[in-house]
Amino acid sequence: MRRLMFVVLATMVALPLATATALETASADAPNAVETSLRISGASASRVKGQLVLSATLTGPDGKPVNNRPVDFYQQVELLGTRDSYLGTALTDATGTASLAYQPAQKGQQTIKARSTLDESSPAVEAVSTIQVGQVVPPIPSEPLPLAPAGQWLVYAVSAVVLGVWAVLLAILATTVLGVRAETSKPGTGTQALASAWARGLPRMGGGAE
Amino acid sequence: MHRQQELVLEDVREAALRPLKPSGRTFWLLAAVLALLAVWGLVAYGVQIVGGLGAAGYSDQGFWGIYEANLVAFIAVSYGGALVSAILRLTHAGWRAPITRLAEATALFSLLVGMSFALVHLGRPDQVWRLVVSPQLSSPIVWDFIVVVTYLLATAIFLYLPLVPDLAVVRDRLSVKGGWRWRCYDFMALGWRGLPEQRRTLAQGVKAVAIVIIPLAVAVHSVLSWAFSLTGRPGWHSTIFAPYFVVAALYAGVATVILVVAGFRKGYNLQSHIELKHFRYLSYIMISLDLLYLYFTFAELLTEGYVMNEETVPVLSSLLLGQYAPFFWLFVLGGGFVPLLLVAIPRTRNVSGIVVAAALVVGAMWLKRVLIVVPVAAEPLIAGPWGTFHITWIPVAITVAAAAAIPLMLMLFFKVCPILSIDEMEEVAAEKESHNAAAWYKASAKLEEGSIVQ
Amino acid sequence: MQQETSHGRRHVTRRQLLQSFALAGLGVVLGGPPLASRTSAEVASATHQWAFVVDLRRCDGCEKCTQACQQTHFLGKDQTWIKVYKMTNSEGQAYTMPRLCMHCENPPCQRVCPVGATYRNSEGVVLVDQSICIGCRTCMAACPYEARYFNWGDPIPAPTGIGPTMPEFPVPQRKGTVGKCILCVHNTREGKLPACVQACTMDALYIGDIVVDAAANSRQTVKLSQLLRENDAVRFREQLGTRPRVWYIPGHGQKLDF
Repeated sequence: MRRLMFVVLATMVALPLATATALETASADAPNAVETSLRISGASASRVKGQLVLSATLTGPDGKPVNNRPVDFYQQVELLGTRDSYLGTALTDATGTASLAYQPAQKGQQTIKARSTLDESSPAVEAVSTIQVGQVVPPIPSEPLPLAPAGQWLVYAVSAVVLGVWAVLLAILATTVLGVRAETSKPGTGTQALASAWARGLPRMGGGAE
Repeated sequence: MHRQQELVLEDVREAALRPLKPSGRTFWLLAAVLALLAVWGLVAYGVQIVGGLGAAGYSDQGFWGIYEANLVAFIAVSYGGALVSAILRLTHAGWRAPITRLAEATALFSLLVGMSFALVHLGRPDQVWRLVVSPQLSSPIVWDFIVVVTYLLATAIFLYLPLVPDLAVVRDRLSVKGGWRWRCYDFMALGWRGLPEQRRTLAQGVKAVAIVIIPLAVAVHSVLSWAFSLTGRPGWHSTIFAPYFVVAALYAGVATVILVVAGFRKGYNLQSHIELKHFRYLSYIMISLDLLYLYFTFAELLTEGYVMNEETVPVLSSLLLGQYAPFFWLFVLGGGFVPLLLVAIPRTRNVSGIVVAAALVVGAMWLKRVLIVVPVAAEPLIAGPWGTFHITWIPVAITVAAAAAIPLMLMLFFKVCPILSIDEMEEVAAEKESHNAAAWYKASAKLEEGSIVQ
Repeated sequence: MQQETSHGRRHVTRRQLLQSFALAGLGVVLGGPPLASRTSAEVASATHQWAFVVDLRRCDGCEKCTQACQQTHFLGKDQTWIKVYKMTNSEGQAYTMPRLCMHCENPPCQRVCPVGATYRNSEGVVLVDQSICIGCRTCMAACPYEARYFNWGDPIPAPTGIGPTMPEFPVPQRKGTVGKCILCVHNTREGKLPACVQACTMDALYIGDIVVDAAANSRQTVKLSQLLRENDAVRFREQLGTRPRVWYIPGHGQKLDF
C-alpha cells in the first residue's frame, strides 16, 4: 500500500506543472558526509502578493542542522555581466533553516545562491538552485502622467487655430488684392472716370465703408 | 469749402511725399552713420560665429542674457503699430490718421529686427531649418516661431493694404509715366483708381486685418513669455508672465511710436500735420499702460515675495535689495514714475517733455527685460556662487546695430512710400466733413424751427 | 532544468512526502507552462531600464567621479557632467552631494526642445543628439537640476580615431550645442560600468537596472528595490514631477533639504 502511494505521488510530482527543484551540493547525498553542507530548500509563496520565501538548510559535518548561522542569499542577475545580486541575510533556526522574504522582479527561471559558514574559521559553503517565478509585482512601479493626454489635445487644438489664422490672413490679402484689381479692369474706370469722380467733390467720393 | 478742401488735400500730399524728394546732406550723413552701426553689428555677429557664444559673454551660469532680452524688447516695440493703427482704427479715433503709417512701418521693421535676435542667440544657427522641417510641438520655442511669423505676415499685410491708395498717388505724381518705376508703383498699387468699389474692398480688408492682428499681438507676447515661464525656474515660473509681457509690449510700443513720430516730424517738418495733440493723446495711452505695468509688477513681486518661498526669495531679494537692485529701482523711477510725472504735470506736457518721457520708457523697458532674464539665469539652483552675464563688445555692438537698423529702414522706406497715410487722412477728413455738414444741416434746421435763439 | 526529487532514497519519510506535496503545490501555484531552459543570452536581451543610486553616507567629496567623467568624454574643466556639490543642510551639517543628470522619466528638457534633439531612449536614458541641437539653451533653462552644459566655444578635440560624435558617445563635443551625463551608455551597452561608478573609491555610486532589480557599484551588486527601501532613499526635487531615475541615500540622521 505504501509502495502504491509512493508511485502515485511520484507520478504526480513528475507532472510538468510541478517544476520547483532543489540541487544538492556533492556532499549532501551521503548521510554520513564529513563536510558542512548547505541546501536551498526551495521557495514558497509568502502571504504578501508577489513575494516568495527562500529557504536554505545548513547541515554540519555530523549531519546535524546548524543553528544560528547567517546565510547570505543571492540572485544571479544579468547586469553588465553575470553578477550575484545580494538579496539579504537570514539566520538559521534550530532546524538549521534560514528563511528570507524575497520579491522577485522578473518572471521565469531564476538562479538563487546561498552561502554560509559553519563558524568564523571554516571555509564558505555555497548552494545553487533554480526556482520558477510566475507572478511578479514590480518592485519599483512606474508612475502615470495624468495630464499628458490634455497636453496632446492642446497641441492639436492650437495647431488648428494657427492654421485657421493663416487661412484667414491669406484670404483677406487675396480677396482684397483681387477685388481691387478686378475693379481696375472694369470699363469706365480709366483716368477720365477718375477725373470726373474727383470733380464731383470729396464727401461723396469719400464715403467709404467706415 | 471745396477749394479749401483741395488746398488742405494738396498740403497733406505734399507733406507726405516730401521725403520722396531728393534728400540733403543731413539725411545721407545720418543714414551713413546708422548703416555703419548696423554693419558693425554684423561684424560682431561674424566674430561670434567664429568664437562661439562664450565670446558674447555667455556661460553655464548665465546661459541666457542680452540677446534673449532683446528678442522680447524689440518685438515688443512692434506693438505700437498694433495699438495705434489697429485699435485706434477700429475705435474710429480720427486723430490717429497722420501717424498710422509711421506706426505700421515701425511695427514691421522692429519686428524684423526682433526676429533676428532669435537667430543671433542660437549656438548653431545653421541648424535652424529644423524648426521648420521637424519641430517638436510641445516646445514653447516652436510656438514662438510660429506666432511671430504669423504676426509678421499680419503686420506686413497691415502695412501694405492702407499703402495701396498712397502708392497710386505716388504713381500719379511720377514725372515719367510708363517707365519701370511707374509700372512698379502701379503693380504694387493694384491699379488703384479710387473707385467706390475698390475703396469698399480695401476698407473691409484693412478692417479684417485690424481685427485679426489684435488677438495675434496678444498671442505673440504671451507665447514669448511662455519661453520663460514654462521652464519652472524660480522668478520665471509665474502665471502673470503672459499678460505682463503683453502690457509691457504695448507700453514700450507706444513710447517707441512717440519717438519715431517725433523724429520724423522734426526731420521732415510735419508739424502742421502732426500736432501737439497727437503727442498728448499718445502720451495718455502711454501713461495708462505705465500704470497698468506698475500694477502688474507690484502684483507679481508681492505674490512671489509675501510667501517667502525658499525657491523665489533669492532672486527677489537680489532684484529688490541685492546686486541688481540699483538697476531695478532705476527702472521703477525712470520707466515708471518720471514719465508719469512728465505727462501729468501740464508744464512738461509738451512735445519735448513727452519725447523725453517716451525715451525714458523705451530705455527703462529694455533694462527691465534684461532684469527679467539675467538674474534668474544667474541664480544657482542647487548650491554655489551666482553666475552673471559678462557683457562684451559683441552683444553691445549687435544691440546698437539693431537699434540703428530700425530708423535706417524707416528712412529708406519713406524714400519710396509716403510718410503720411494720405488716403486715410482724406478719409478721416471726409468723415469729419460729412459729420460737420450733417451737424450744420441739423443746426440750421433747428434754427428755422426757432429752437436756437439767434 | 534538472528534475530531482527527494524520493531518491529508498525509504520515504513522512516529512519527505509532505515536502514533495509542498513542492508540487508550489509548482502549481507559481508555475505557468513549463519553460524551456533560459540561457544567459536570452536574459541579457531583455530591455534594461537604467537607474542610479548615490549613497551619501559614503561620498567623501573627492571628485574622482568628476575627473573620470571628464577624462572619458574629453570635457573642459567647467563641464562637470557629474558635479560634487558642497552642501550645508538647514541644521548646519555639511555634506557632499554628487549630482548627475537625473534621467527623468518625465524630463522637462525633452519637452521644451524645439527640434527634438533631446530624447529618452528605450532604456530610459536621456540623450542629446548634437547634430540636431540648435543651441537655444531652453533645455538648460528647464532643467531644475542644472545638469546641462553648453559648448560655448571650441570643444576639446578628441584624439584621432574617436568620432564621429554620436548621442551615445558625444566625443568630440560640438560647439554651440548642449551636453550632459549620458549614464555612459557607451559602457553599459558593452557590459561595463559607467566611468564615475568605476572611479568611485568609496563605492558610493551604483548603476541600477529596474528590470532585473539590481544595482552594482565597483565592488558589489545588491537588490535595487531593497537598497532603496531599507535606506529611505529619496529622489531629488521629485515634487516637480520629473520622476527622476536617480536615488539618493541620505546619511543616517542627516537631514536632506530635498
